[in-house]
Amino acid sequence: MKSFIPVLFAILLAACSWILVRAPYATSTSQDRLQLSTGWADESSCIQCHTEAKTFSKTGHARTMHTAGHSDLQPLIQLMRETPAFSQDGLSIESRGSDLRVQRRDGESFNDVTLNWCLGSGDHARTWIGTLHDSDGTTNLLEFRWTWYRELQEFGVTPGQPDEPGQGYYSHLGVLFDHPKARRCLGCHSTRLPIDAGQIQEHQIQAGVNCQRCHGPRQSHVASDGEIREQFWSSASRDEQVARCAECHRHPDEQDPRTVRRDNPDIVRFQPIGLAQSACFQKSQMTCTTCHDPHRSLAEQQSKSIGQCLQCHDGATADRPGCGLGKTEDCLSCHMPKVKMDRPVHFTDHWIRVRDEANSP
Amino acid sequence: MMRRPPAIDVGVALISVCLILGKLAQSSFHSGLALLPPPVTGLLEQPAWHVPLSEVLELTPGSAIALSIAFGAIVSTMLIRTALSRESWEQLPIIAGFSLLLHPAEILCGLCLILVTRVREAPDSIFRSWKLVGVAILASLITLEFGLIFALVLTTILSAFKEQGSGVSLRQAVPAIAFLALMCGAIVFLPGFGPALARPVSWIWLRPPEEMAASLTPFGGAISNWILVLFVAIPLGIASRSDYSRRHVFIGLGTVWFALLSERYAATALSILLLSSPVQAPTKLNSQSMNRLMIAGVVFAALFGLHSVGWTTILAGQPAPRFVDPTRWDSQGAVVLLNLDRAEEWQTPAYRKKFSLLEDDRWDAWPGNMHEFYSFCDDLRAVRDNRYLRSDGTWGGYLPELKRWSPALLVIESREVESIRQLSLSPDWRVMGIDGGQTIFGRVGDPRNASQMRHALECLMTLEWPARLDQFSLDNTLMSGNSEDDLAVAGALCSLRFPYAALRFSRYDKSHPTLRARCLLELAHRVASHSSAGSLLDQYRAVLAVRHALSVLPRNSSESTSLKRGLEGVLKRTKEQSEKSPENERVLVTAVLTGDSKTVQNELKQLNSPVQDFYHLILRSPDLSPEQLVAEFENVIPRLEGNLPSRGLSEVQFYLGCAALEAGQLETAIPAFVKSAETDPDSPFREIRQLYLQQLRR
Repeated sequence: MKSFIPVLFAILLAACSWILVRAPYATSTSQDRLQLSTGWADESSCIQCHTEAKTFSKTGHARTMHTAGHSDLQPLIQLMRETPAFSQDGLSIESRGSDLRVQRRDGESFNDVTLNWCLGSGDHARTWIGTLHDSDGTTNLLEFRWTWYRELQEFGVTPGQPDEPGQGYYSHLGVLFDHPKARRCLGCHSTRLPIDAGQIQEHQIQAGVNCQRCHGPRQSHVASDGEIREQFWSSASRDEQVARCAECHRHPDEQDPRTVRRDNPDIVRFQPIGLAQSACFQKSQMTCTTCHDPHRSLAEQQSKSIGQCLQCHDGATADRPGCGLGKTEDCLSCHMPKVKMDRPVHFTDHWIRVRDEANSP
Repeated sequence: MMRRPPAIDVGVALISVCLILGKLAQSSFHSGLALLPPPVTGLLEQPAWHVPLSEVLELTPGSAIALSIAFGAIVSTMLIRTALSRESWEQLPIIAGFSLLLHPAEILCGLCLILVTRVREAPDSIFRSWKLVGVAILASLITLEFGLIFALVLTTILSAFKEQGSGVSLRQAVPAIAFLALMCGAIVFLPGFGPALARPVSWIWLRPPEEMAASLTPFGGAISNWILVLFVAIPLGIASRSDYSRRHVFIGLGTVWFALLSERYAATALSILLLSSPVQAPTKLNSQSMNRLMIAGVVFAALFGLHSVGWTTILAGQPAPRFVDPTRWDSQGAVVLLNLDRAEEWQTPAYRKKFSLLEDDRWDAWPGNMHEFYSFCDDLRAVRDNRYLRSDGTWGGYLPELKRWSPALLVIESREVESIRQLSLSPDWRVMGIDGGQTIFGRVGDPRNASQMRHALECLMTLEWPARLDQFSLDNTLMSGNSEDDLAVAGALCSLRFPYAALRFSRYDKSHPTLRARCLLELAHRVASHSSAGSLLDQYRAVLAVRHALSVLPRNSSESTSLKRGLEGVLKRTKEQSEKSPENERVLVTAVLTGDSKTVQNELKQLNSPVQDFYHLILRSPDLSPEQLVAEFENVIPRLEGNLPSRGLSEVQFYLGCAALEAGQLETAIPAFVKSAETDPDSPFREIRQLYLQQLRR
């Protein structure tokens, strides 16, 4: 009996160890896909086999995030230095490697911030941001007060920020965002966003919305010479497909239902919300990719042509009505017009409908 | 035959009773006590078995406390009598361990366990079998942990059959058959009965993540489990050297294993061990060593028990309210518990009138998709409101569930400082109450939460910026009953970015380096990120405090990482700022801001005496109380006038204001900040100084 006891203790310890190392029930081991540390392929390998990858680099998605001092941005940085509003406000810009140092002098006092990234493709606008550390080491963000607008070809106050700066250290430099907002901003402008204990690992960010943002980490696909294929886009339901785009363009169920009104201009920039309200969407199987080819820039794709609409509205039968006014071109200007936001930026209203004064923003 | 217990045994018995009653007092007087498992379970659960007595008998808090104390006394006394009646001294440490670990809600289960034991020690007869069946049925009527009693009853009846061999008559087998038939029938026909029966073991494969139910985690309550090991190892060690039967050793090992896996079942497992050991004591030790061992056990148990109960409670009798009582708020509706171990507190009759839990600790009633709830909680902690794609292709983001389940309150442990910080950034939640155990957030937009949210904010603001003290009341918003509570509340306050309030609540206690470091770092960060210069006073103290905390914290702990990174952030800012400071000050100022006291000492030699005094004061500041700091600054400032340029003088006046603010001396703080502003309106600290003044004059 005595010799048997050590064996029993060994079994006991083994059992305890097993329980200890075993993951608790229902604990999801999955994590935010952007934060995965492994499984990513070199984006440049896509172009070797996929023709879409050749045109993709010109898309707004691919160009939606750069380091603050990126060579493509130098003309804008120069313009920034020459903008009178900047000097009138005491702002000076200094390049430091890939960063920009902005300093505001007011009498003998000065405030400053380092801008690390520039968000936006430039098709509409470009806004610089700076990452800051919170007291617990998590990453916060400062959205620069000035944004470059294509429509103006000059700088203006960033959307969402007050025309006149308020009080506080950063008031003339921009607006502070806390960690959840910082993660959200950068998450939609990047393909990979590693975060360790709340601190965004900036040197590992894969800037821009690239192939793997929509197709997932493709290291195994590349390593297997394409043998391992992604099944999602060939088998996903319509809702799932739209949800993938809505991850950044906002899903309808994330919007307060009281704000989903035809006359509300604030929802126009969230395309899936408007699209989901449209009869075109509700009475068909259309998705975002019915009109948009995400592998081509907006200029190169056919999303603005009448051909997209004629797929259903060719007037052939009663349930395929053509234009009530008998027009044969430019459906978008009536049914999906561009709507001006609070700053000089226009977004296409994706709530496709017959519009009148009362039900338009 | 019962022997007369010696004095030492009576001492152990008394202490055990005290410990059990102390535990009852600790939990019941403040947060209510669910003696009977509540009939209402989580909103997301499947049909569950409810203890029938709790369906027909709703105990008021007063009667529950009285009954609990009565049952607690009965359980303790019966345990002691049972153990002593066997003249088996090694069971006394087990009794002490049991008393330490017993949770008030387990009293009825403990009572049934003792009843089973007393019945099974009676001579074998058909009446004994029926009595055992009766106890099992009683258990199913009064406790949720009846599975343990069923197991013991079944084991006892079957053991008796085994001893009798083939001589078992039909009449003797009837109780066992009836019991099995009843059990099978209940499993088939009573919804949730089967899963409830399996509760004592099903947690092993259904257990939630550690942060949601620490009591179900192996070694979850590390200290109590190791104490348990100590208490159990002694008799087991003796057993291995004695003629204990193989069965008893197996039972012993099994119960130890069971107890080690879960804090929740530790006391129950101990009681099984205690009650299942042989009647006759096989071990004979001389009375001297026995007495020494027992005295050691008694002293240890008493110290631990008194520490658990709290000296204040014992000395002051009826204690002051220690916990926030949300039933006194206007709030009502669904509640998300991020720690399911708190489910019992939130299911007392008073709570059930206003609140219903989304999910509680009834793992036997959890549906198959519990990961949905856990993911929801994970997303809540991390403020992942919007949709995001997970690596397994599922969608994260709590907004859809928040709309669907519409909880009014969210409850998190006050010691979960990182999650509290995150939640404070959420647009959906605002803090409503903090005590030593839990921090309660209310859903923004729920009009029933608005009043208490305003009151809580006013409390926090006043604690941080001691203005408008005439309207100040912490009642039922920030509650604390002892020094441990103070520290927990202070930790939560610091996470909510109220470092001065946290320092006040911690009574400036320097014996908790991590909390102090977090508070000082928060202050230094506040100044550094809202000024174009770092605060010599705040940052020097912060750097030293963080270094000290890092030296005592485990290297890779989350606290240590957070402190390290927080300090790196402040020092990075210092590096940027030092580039702008005048050449002659740069070395000295940078040395102070980076905590390099040796360089400061060297540089000081070049300065004149009053300025040296100022820097000496900064170097001594980590050891001074806020009041001492104020006095020293008031002493040094007159001597600095004329020896420092206006910018420098303004800076020192700003530090005096900060020290006075920390000491709660409004009458000194406001004039100091005003004077600082008059001396140098363009000071690098002008924005933060303006902010402080606004808050103090609000």
